[in-house]
Order: sequence, then structure tokens, then C-alpha cells
Amino acid sequence: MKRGWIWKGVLILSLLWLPGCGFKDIDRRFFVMAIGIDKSNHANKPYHVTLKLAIPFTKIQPGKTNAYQLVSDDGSTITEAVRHMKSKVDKELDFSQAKIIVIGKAMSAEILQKGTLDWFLRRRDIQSAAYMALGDPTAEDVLNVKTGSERFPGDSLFLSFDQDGTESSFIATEYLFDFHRRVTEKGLDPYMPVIRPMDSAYLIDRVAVFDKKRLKAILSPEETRIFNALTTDFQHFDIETKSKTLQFAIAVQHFKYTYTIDPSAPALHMNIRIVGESEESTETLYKQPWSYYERLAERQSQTRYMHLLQKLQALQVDPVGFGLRYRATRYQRDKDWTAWEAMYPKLTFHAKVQIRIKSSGGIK
Amino acid sequence: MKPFHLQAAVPGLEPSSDLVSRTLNVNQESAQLIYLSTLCDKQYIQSSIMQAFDACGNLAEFNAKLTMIAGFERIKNGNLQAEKLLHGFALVVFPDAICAIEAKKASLAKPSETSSESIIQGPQKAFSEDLEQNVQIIRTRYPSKNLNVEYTEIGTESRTQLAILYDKAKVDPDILLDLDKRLAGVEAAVVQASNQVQMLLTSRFEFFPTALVTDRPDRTALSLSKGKVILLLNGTPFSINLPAVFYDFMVSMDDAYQSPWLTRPLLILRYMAVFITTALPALYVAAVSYNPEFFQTQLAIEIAGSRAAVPYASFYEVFFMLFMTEALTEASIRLPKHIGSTATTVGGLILGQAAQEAGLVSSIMIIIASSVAVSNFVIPINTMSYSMRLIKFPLVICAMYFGLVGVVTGIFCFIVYAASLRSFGRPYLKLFIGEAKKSR
Repeated sequence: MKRGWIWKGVLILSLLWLPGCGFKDIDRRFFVMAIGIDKSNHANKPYHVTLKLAIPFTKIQPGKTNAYQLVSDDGSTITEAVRHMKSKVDKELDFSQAKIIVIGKAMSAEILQKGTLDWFLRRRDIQSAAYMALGDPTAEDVLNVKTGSERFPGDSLFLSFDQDGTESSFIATEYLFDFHRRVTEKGLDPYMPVIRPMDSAYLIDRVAVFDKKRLKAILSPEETRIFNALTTDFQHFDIETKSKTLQFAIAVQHFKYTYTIDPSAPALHMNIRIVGESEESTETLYKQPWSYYERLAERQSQTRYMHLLQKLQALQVDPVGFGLRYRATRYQRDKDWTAWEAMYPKLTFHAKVQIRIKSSGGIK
Repeated sequence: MKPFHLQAAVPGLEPSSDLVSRTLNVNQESAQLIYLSTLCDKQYIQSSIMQAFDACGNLAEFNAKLTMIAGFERIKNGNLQAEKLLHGFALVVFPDAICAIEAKKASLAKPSETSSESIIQGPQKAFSEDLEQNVQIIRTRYPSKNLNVEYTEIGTESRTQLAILYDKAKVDPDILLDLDKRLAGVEAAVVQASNQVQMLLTSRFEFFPTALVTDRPDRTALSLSKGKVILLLNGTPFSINLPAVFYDFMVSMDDAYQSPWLTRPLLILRYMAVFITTALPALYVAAVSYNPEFFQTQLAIEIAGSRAAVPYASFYEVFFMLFMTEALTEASIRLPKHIGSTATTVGGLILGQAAQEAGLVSSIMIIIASSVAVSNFVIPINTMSYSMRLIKFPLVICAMYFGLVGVVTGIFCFIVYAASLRSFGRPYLKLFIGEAKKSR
């Protein structure tokens, strides 16, 4: 009897040398930093999946510790490609740090299909707060860039999109969860920032707008800034104003817009209020009263807003969510949506911009 | 005149070299003076008993004179004689009566500096090792007419004197009854330390202490004013305060003496330290081996990089470092003070550095091990900090098998356990909202 207890004790103690089943040490895992999806050349294996794997370092040094390993594979689904990729690496793939998903330009229509986007949403370890971006020309080209200031692979991309690092009015940030919502929501259309690799750097200054089926257009950098202000209430941009005799810039400190939809006309009235500080000017801003410069800037930015709104209307996309607002405020089961679909192409836009120059900057 | 029989006068007493027995003769009558020279003050015996004897013409007169001496007792019957001798009384045996006169040597014990619970600005002296002196200290600090002192003995062999102090107006009689019952149930032979008494009165196998042992007279006086019962054991500079709840162990006396702007954040810091000292090693194992998504990207890469040199699983690393820090703590307590600092330097600095460079442990693990050790010392009461040292090991085992879920479940189990504890009938995790105001 006593002997039995000793054996049981030894057995329990021997368990202390063994871990549980899900146990896998951090150094036996390969952290996937970025996922790239491209179109392959094979018809039966359309998905060309590229993963950027981080090689761990003890001491992080900018520009030196961003070594990475790029693995890619073709598959009829993303799952198949990733499964097969596991046989190409020596450690377990860990998607928990994959904070960016880059879609190749050629793949842009496929990502809108429910099944493809589902893979990212259903996997437990991919964060819903991962960034979405369009890679131009391909996602693999974007992932294969090594910038000189990176602390770890993919760091530059993460910093570009979270507002932690650079805050640029040209960079539109799109999250996986928001993208998914825009793909499914009536009256709110998806968009994605476009990343273009430039030898050891990225250029992110355009945005691609989609309807529910395919990529419709890529906006110019100037349009992207206005787009950013309208979709995400981005506050830190500036307004350039040019006339024959004068050119000046206003750095925006406060930006706010409201709009109302008038279905009888049909028209959309937008009120934009901007408070800013003049930053750079070709002449002293005391020759005329400030209201003169304000009116000048208002007129010019008004045309820019009108231009973008009309362009989006012509493309039949609605990333700002006018349709969603219409549905929310005039609920009539399915009728409101058909009414809006008929109304949107005929809508006239009235953008009214109010700019107030708060100061002419500091004097040193 | 019949010869004196020591055995007859003091039944049960074995002859000993320090036993002094002298016959005092007057008018053909004789009395016997008996005392233990090691316990009694000879000078005092000379100045009180002998002088009284010198001035008397017969024994009856001497007997009457003795009653005037302070600390006089008449032993009527029973076998109390040996008892009195052992407690520093001198016996004067008359043919028809036995008198006992207290002639104990003045204690040499002095209150020392508080060592186990020091604070910067506040009372600096601790209790002494002498019971009478300790009672005197408390009476001075808590001069209440309601203060009640009772003496009893604990330990079948050691018969150590134990004083029970309480404020009669504030104490809960249920606690006194409970205490009496528990004291009656103590069967230990030799009782010498307050922690031992605490263990004997509460359950031996409890994870958390349910009575508070302190060497601070000010904490003891505060406890009295809150209606707690204080036990003082002869020969130890500590008081036992009961009942005690978990929050008592997290409070330093500084909290009552300083501005709340300072003490409240410090209190929060202590609870954070408790969390770190118990859960950090387990969280490390869980996060490194099960849930690396817990880390920020840069940290994950750095930890993976520093772990890459370590050839075995994360929990071996944790057990190795925890063993080292525990051994170091234990060594620095046992070692003489002069060698203690050498041990910590060699063990902590050199060995830690070398282990990391040799790739036995990762650099992150060194930080974790030292923060676990340092956080442990933040807990004000020693017995609680011992409990917290213990708890981290089951949590690491939980983390080993079940990851983060295991750690959370483990912590939950300990909280449930603490909630189920009772300290002399009082819930262990009870909150005392608003009560702190009175002690300010």
C-alpha cells in the first residue's frame, strides 16, 4: 500500500519535467510580420501567398535588425498555400504579430469575395485591427522592401499606418474589421491605401476606391488628402491657395464637416469648417484684411471638395457613407436603399467651406 | 529543634548547585530561606528579607515584617512552592507557614530598534524580550482604563508566560472565547516564538497567515484601539495581533503617519508588487510558450532573440532562476551580516550575468527573477511575504500545462481560497471602508 503511494508520487513528480500539449516556445515560432496575396500564373492555383517572416534578434538596432525571410507558395485557396508553406520553414508559423495584409493589384477583385476575406477573419491569431493595403505592382514587391530605418521587418509599414509614427494626410489607414464592414454594408464602400515600393522605401500617397465588386479607381495624391479628411476626419493637413499674385498655405488645426441630404431636390448640402494658421506665403498677410485671404482659400478648397464628391459620384462609389446616413435617417425597410440607389447618381452637391485664419504663425 | 527537610518543604524539587538554602536562627526557633541564586537578586534579598530578620526578636515578628515587603505572597497549601522558586521568588519556610517574596533579578533586556518592519519617520524602538517591559510599553502607549491584562502559560514543558491584552470596551467577547478555546487546545511542549504561537492558534497548513505578528509597539497600540486582542510571549520582541485580515498585512505604519497623496499610491504599488511577485514568472511561461500575441511585436522579436541561445524550454529557465533567487534570499537571512552582502553580490550580480552570457537563461528572465525578488520585499509584514513567495510555484505549474488560462484559473483559485479563510471568525478578505479615518 505504502509502496503504491511512492510510485504515484514519483509519477506525479515526473510530470514536472513535461509541459502541456499547446506548449511551443517563442524561439520555436516564426513570426509572420506581413501577409501578401497576389495572383499566380496558374489557373487552378490562383492564390500566390507571400509571408514576411521576422528573424529574431537580441538587441534591436534600426536598419540592422530587420532581416527577414520571404516565403511564398501558390494554392487554390489561401489555406492550402499556407499549409504547404509550413513545409518550407523550420519553425511554427505564428500569425499573431501579422499586422498588415497587402493585396496585389491584380488580386483586388478577389479580396472582395466573401470566402477570401473570411480566411483572415476566421483565423484566431490574425488581429482584426490588422491594416489592409493594396500593393502596386504586386504584394510580394511591397513585402520585399527593406528600409534603412526599420527596427524589425515590417516596422516601417506599421508605423506608416498607425498614427504612432508619421501622421501624413496622404496616408489613408484601413483596418481589416473596417474593410470587412465596408464590403458587406449597404451605402458604405471599401477603400484601401496603395503602397508603391521605391528602392528601400515606400510611397503611400494614393487611395484605391472599390464598389462592392471590384476596384473602381485610384485617386491622385491631392484627392487622397481630401478623401482622408472626409472619411476619417483627419485633422492634420494643409490648404494650398494660389492666385495670380499670391500663393499661401494654411496649416489646419481644426476641421469639421456636417452634411444634410435633401431628397426632394435631390441635393447634398455640406458645411465644412476649418480653423488654421497661415504657414507660408509669398506676400505679407497684412496687405489685405484676413477675411480676404480666407475667402480666397474658401473658394479654392470648395472646388476641390466638389471635384472629389462629383468624382466619387461618377465612379458610383460611396466611401464616405452618404448612403448609410440616408438609410439610417429615413428607414423604410428595403425601400430606402432602392430610393438611395436611384437618387445618388442624380444628387447635386453643395459644399460650403468656412475657413478662419487664427494667426499668421510665430515670429522668431 | 528538628532538622530541616528540603524535600518536605518544597516537594518535587531536585537538588541543584544554584539552589541556596540557609537557616535563620533566632530564640531557638528557626526559619529556612530558599532561593535560586541565578534567578534572584542577592542584593535585594539582603536589603529586604535579611534586614527584616536582623531587626526582629522572634519569628512571629519576622513573619509580620515580611508581609510588609512588596511582592509578598503567603503560600497556603498545594505544591506551588517549586513553581514560585522557578519564577524568581525567595521562599521563607516557617514551621507553620511558607512565605514567598518576589526577588527576581531586574531584566537586562532592552528594547531594540525595529528590524523587521522599519519605517523612516515614526517610532523607532521595537518591543524587548522581557514580558513585563513589553506590557509596560503598551500601557504607556495605550493608557486606557479599559486595558485589560491577563497572564497565562503556554507549552507543557517550557511553560512560557503569555500575556493577553485587550481593550475591554472594544473587544468582541466571541474572539476572547475563541482564543481561550484554542489556547486550551495547544499541546506543544516548548513554545519560544510568536510565529509559533500564531501557528499553534491558527491552522498550520493555511497558505496565508491569519494572525499578525509585529515588532512595532505603535501598530500594537493601534490594533488595541481597533478592538483587537494582543498576545505577548515572554522572551520574544513581537506581539501577536488577532484577528487579522489580508489588508492588515499590506499596510505599513507609515500609511497612518503620512499624507494620503503619498500613502495611497504606495498602497497601490504594494498590491502591484504582490501581483508581480506571485504572477510574473507564471505569466512569462504562459506568454512565451503559449500566447506570444500577448507581447508587442518588437518585444516578441527581442524575447525570441534572447531565448534563442537557451537550449531548453521556458519553464526550466524559470525554475532555475527562481531556485537561484530563493536560495540567495535564504542564504542572506542565515548568513552573518558581514558575509551576507558578499553572498548577494556573488550570487545576484556575477552569477546572473554569467548565466545569461553562457546562454543558460535569457536576459528577460534575469529581469523577471530580480523584479520578483524585489517586489516580494515590498510587502510590509514578513509572514505575508513568505506566503507570497510560496504561491508563485503552483502558478508556474498551472502556466506550464494550460498557458494563460491556467494562470488566470490559478489566481482565481487563490482568491477563492483567501475568501474562504476566517481569522477568528472574521472573513479574511473583508473590507473596512471608512474605518481608517479613526486612526488618522
